[in-house]
Amino acid sequence: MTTAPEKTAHPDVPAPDGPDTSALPAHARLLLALARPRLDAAHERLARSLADRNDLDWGAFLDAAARHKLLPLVGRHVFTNRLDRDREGLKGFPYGWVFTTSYLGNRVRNQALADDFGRVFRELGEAGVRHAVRKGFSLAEGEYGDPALRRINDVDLLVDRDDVPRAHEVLERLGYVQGKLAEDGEQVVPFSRKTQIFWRVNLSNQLPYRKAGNRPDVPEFNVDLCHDIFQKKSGVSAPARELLDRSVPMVLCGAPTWVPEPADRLLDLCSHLHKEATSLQFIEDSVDLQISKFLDVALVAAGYDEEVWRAFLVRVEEYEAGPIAYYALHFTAELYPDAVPPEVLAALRPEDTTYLDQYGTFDGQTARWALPFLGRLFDIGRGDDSERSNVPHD
Amino acid sequence: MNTPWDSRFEALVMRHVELGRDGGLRPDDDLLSHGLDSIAIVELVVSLEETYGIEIPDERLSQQSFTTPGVLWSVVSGLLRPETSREGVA
Repeated sequence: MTTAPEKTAHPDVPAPDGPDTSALPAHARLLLALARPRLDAAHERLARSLADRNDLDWGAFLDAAARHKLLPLVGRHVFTNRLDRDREGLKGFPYGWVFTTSYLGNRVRNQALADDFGRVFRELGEAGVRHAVRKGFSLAEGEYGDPALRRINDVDLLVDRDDVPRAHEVLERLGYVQGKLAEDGEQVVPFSRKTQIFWRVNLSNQLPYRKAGNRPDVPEFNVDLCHDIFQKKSGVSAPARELLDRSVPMVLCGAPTWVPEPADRLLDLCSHLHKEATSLQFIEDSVDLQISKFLDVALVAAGYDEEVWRAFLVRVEEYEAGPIAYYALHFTAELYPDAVPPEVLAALRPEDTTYLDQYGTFDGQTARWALPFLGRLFDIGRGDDSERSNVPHD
Repeated sequence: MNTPWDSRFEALVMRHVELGRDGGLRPDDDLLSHGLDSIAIVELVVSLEETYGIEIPDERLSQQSFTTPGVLWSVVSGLLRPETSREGVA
């Protein structure tokens, strides 16, 4: 396990209800304490207690916060809760500016993304292209309540396959090209033929549309058009057309658009989490397990009432997506025990749960993790021994 | 057995499948269950495009096009210029 060496135990304040993190290094426990948009008194006390420990490896904390895409959120807590100030004999966070400027930088970056993506939503709508925003800004402007808290890479839009030509025309007019940012960071160059073929034969998305950002905080703008919330290889399918028929109008990034209706929205997040947590390509890039994705699921799930949970269970059954939904909700509940009602987990739990510790199945190379979930969540070398992904992405 | 395709097509496809029997490809062989996985499809398309000087259009790049040699050949042969097609047929 590749984590910072631990030193002697330190008597912390009691942990609020949550996972048993006693085996984790202090930096990991601190990150888990802070991994929520609003810091309650109990988690703040725990965070201050952990920050005071002499054995806390701040370099490892910074690395983990960045890897788990939580650095802006931590920065907001540092500022709003004055975590960088010594208090009641407890030392504050060192170099608080690193955290707070990450938050401010993310605020500026997301504003730039919102300006561009808002234009995309508006123009798609005007061209008659029904679309729905997955994840990203729907969460940042919704459950997070502050778009600067959530690191956003791109915008994923559900679009019916039949609307692709019109969507393509709109995106092209707005300067987007299907390709990858060149090494100079200024041009977008086409993907290799192999990558184009692989995407078209095997994936439920169009090749990504990109536009150079030409600014330090936004190297590129990235729009993904998705036709299904599940990967073809999962054997499960929920076509965009069906979700679009049920989608809900919304204003995001200052423009009219749609988002999937609640049950679809959570199922989409579950599918996304499961895909990235178990696919070799994401393991290879060390972005398979990120607390931010579990937090996304937890925040959406926490807002559900009984009626929505009932609708969710019906939808899961309709798409035969039980194992995927259970995977995401089971591990989310490990980190955020209050987010998912136990009866929902019980209703979804498959008889055989050995797949929870497996990965690589979609790649045709099923393997098993050696470490339990919490251990591998913070093990930056967890993918070192895994098979390499053979998915072309150059 | 007479087949509609040429020897180059036969050789390229056979590189990626294990039929488990003697003899060549048959039009209705199930390619996907005989080793033509997602990565093999990519390699096969690149080889076919280079060999025949064609580009398989996006709308034909689906698993459906790779189910059997007969279906795949119909995709490829439909893209051949007449002279290429004549030269190509063994």
